[in-house]
Amino acid sequence: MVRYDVIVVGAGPGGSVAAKTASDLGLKTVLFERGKKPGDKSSSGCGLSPGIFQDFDFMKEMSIPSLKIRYQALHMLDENLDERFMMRWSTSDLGEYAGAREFFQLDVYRRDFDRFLADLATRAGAELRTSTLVVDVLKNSKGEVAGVVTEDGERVEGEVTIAADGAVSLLAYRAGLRGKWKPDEVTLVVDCDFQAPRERMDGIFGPEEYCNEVYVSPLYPAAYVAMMPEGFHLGLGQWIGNLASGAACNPYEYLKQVIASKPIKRLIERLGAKPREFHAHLLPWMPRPPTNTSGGGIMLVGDAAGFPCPLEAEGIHYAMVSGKIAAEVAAEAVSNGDTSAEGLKLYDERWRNSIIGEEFSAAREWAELWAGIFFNPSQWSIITPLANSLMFWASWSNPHITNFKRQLSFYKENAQFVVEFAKSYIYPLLRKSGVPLLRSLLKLGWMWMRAKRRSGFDFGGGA
Amino acid sequence: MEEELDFRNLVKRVGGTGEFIRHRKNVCTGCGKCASVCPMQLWELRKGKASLREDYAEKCLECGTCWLVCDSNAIDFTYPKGGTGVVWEYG
Repeated sequence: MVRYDVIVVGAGPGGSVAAKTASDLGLKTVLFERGKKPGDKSSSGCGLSPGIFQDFDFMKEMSIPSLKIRYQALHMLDENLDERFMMRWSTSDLGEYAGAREFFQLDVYRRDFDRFLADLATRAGAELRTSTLVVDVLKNSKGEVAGVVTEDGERVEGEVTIAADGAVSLLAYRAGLRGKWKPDEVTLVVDCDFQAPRERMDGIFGPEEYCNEVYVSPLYPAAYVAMMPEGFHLGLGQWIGNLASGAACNPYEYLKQVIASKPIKRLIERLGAKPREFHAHLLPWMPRPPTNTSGGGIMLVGDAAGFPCPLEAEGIHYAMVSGKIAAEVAAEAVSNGDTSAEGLKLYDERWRNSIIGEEFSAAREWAELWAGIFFNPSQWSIITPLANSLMFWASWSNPHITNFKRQLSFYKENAQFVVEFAKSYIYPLLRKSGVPLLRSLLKLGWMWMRAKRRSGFDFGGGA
Repeated sequence: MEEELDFRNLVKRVGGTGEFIRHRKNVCTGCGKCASVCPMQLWELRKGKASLREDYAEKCLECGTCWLVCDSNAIDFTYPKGGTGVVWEYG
């Protein structure tokens, strides 16, 4: 029997980065993938953030087709699915990463990206075994994971197993690290890939001005349009708890509604787009930091651990970061001869001190924001008219001051909604950010007084 | 009139998956959660129990949601045999 230092299960971004890192560190590594090729089982689409390029030097070698996303937009539709308000914005100056000003994401197909990363792993020396389903873990007399069992009953021994087997992590389950996800910890995402001629896409959007969009309405949870190198992905998700309880309907029914909505129909027509492939997958979206991400002889990375970010469930960057950390911890554990649960606790400590831990420091606040607003259609029957009325000045039907007064009274009528909204979603974040609220308010008041005293605005006419 | 396109048929597959979902009817409470979540509508309620379509292996997207929501653990889910089942080219 061949014995490995590290067994990685799942050749997605987390698994391949783990296998590459482990091989680079001189560990004998095997990487299992149940698909014929890496990427065959990956349906989630992929937006590569500037942070990935900053954190992983090997990204310089990437030469797969990609689409640079420089804008994002939010479309608010009413109950007739007519658009009432739209916001569009560019990248901000806040990003610390190089390239953050240049793009939000590089959108790529997982087929291409997963194979690029798996190639890096094999080039570093990892053995890739495709078309092989891992069905169980091997345990030693102390109950620690000592390897895996494949579908053919082959027993493969390894010092450390890294489970990168996705949201339905059978290994996490079999190793006894956790039970099934709780209803508020995981979403179901359905998505349709559309194909469109690239010249037409470039002609309509401009080759350098691609924009990823979110559509909200009182009828369904927020849907996204992600522009891709050969068209776009259109999809939406919802927490399992809401689906299973019947509070939300089957996601495919929602998707059909979105595709039939006017703005999407127009997008499809303008691009001459054709539906090409249907996707569905579970996506962990945790309102709390994951626990039990390691045990004796095993570590969980990426979606298997529940690492997609709690605000919008972006998971690729965090999968890659956790894969790297897991492999580094594996190397230390193997060289210390301690791969026990105690020895691998270092993994939990390291990811908590990484960007993953930082994201999860406000997990509840971020997840509640998304659950309460973007995945809660009823909010938009109020938010959309409120947003629309901000543009009171654009109407030529009344004297503008009349419209302004009407807008104010509209806001007054909905004051309770606005206050509750701020209290539920904004205030918790302010608190989490450590903004001293009372002091800030006092300072604002002081600035108001000073500004009033000095208000010597000169419009040129003079008094 | 043009027939409504079912987007869900737009999936490539490799056959020979073997059985990968097992439903234990004696444990099933008939709560219907599996039927309400399955994006491919492969489950239905019959006589107070869930029932999985016989041709599920040719339709299933391997998302595992039915297994996840089954509180009575009446659904066993593994995956199709390695190298078979769904192949996504544009994920």
